[in-house]
Amino acid sequence: MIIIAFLISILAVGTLAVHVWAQSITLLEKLGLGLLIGLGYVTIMCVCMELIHIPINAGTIGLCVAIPLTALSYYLYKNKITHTITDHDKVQLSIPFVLMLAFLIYIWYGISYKALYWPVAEYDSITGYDLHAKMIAREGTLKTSIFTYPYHSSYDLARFIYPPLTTVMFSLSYMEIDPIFNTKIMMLGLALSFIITFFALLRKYISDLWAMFFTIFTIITPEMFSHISLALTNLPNAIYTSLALLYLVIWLQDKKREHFIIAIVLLSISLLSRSDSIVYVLASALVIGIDCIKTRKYWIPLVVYTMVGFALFIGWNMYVKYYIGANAGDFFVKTLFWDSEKFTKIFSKAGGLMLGDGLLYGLTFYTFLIILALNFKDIVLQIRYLPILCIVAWLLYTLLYYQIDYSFAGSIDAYLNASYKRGLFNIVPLCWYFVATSKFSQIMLEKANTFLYK
Amino acid sequence: MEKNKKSLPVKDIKINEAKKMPFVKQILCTVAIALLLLAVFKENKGYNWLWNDLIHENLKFINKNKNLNYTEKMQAKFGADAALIEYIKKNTPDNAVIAFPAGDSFLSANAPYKFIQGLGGIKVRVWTQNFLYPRTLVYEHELKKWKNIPQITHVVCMNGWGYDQLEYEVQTRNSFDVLPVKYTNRQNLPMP
Repeated sequence: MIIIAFLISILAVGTLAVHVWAQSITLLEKLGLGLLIGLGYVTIMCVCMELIHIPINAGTIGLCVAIPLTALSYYLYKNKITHTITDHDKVQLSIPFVLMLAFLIYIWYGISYKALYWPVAEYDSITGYDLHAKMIAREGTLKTSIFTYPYHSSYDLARFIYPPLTTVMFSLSYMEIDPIFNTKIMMLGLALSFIITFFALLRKYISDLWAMFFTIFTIITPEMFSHISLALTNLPNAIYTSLALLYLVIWLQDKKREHFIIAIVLLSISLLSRSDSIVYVLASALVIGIDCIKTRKYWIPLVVYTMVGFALFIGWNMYVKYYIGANAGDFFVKTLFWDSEKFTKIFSKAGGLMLGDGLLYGLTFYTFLIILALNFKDIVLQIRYLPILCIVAWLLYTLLYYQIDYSFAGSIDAYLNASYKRGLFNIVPLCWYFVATSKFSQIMLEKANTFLYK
Repeated sequence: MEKNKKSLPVKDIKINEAKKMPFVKQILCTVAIALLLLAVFKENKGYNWLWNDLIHENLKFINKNKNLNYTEKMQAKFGADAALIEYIKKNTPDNAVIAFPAGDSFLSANAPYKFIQGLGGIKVRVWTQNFLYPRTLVYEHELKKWKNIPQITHVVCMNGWGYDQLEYEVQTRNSFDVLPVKYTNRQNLPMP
């Protein structure tokens, strides 16, 4: 039961930390962000312990959690900092809301049951994250014995030098001798945190009823939902990145310091899950840059945001190169080039995957495009950041695949079918958030509310 | 939340928190949302797959096979590969260094079992490593890649391969077996 104790204490330390630095956000946000921030903290502590040669095990991680938990509890108690329940904390219940909640609980039960019943069976995880997690738990170090073995190919090695969030998270499950739950319990925890936070963020702008409605449509995006029961890195990355970008957009609106801090913390943790998150740092920097030009202020947040993102990206690469001493080879062409055939192939294939027959993303991108068209004038005239961010992030992410050297990495089709489609999870919540909160949607939802509440 | 016309819309607090939806309209809204979800799950391939295959088919299988243990679940997923890995695991200590035949030999027509042909399977060292960790695995086709080959303690013998690496004669040669390099009296646990 060590894993349950870990989950509860990591959730507690994360929630208390968020409560200290962002007191005015809602209780749901604090609870939703708790585990996300807590796991990020544990990962950073594991890297620090590694650097100062302290073994990574249940005891040292337990201490890393127990010390700040005690300190934060004492600080909050001494300064009498409590959470005051306000109207924003209260969720308005109604029969349709309860029906949707029941539906959400049912599909959650279904996917949880599947996740915990089946052992880890995904190739990428068996030959990478899951194996490395077992090794970390047994050997007490991030520089495990896997780096002394020969490899089939660069792909084999690549999975062991991914940023450490997912492997550290999975290794917590292996820190007990006979684990009751498999590593996918962590995915369930992350996904539940995402649902709570996403719902809490939606209800900042739309009523609880519609917030629940759009939360359901976000979470049931078929391919993304199926990943809740898989031990892979894409869903954790999507959770951190999308929430970071949403907090950033909210900060661009209200300029509340705490929203900016949450955005930067979540984005930093997303870079600890996958290095390709760097494209979202670039996309965000562009949007903050537009805001800087518009307002002629906020240059410091732009610099801080970009620098933190790049520092973590470069930091992890240096860590792998100089501390781990591993090199997975160069997957990317490092110079700019133009290859119209490759460009057309990648973008048409990407379009096919995103729209196609709805098998992968359901109604997500269709709905997004319709709402985009209906709000086009408003987006251009008012310079709406969220749709701009969605489009720029998607463009940069797709261009990343254009820069891959396929003579080294394999076929374009295989890459797009396997890897690219999963990376789009990062954009799915942003698209649904835009669909729910665009000007057109606001007008329609207001009309619906006027009818329903009259 | 500070109101700002040039950004995201802000919800109407009055509608949301102060008023309550009349009961009849709650029913109407519930029916409308239920119908919408039904239509979406019926008509869209993706949502249909999620509901029928991902949730219901899995729940049905799990409810029928509630008592399967870890090994049985692995065998349900990976067939002979999982069964043989379990056999190797049971018959070797944690610190064993095990020699395997080349990965390709698991794909040959005269392989003793039907092994996984696609991604993964016992033919892939790093895949097999996951289930046999902390044992060290040395595959024949990778011998040249090892900088310092550790001292082999066990050999996976398949279709006659591997018996010559043992320091003793084996009377009965099975089509698949795992045996210590040095002779011991210990009998292997039976094949699964």
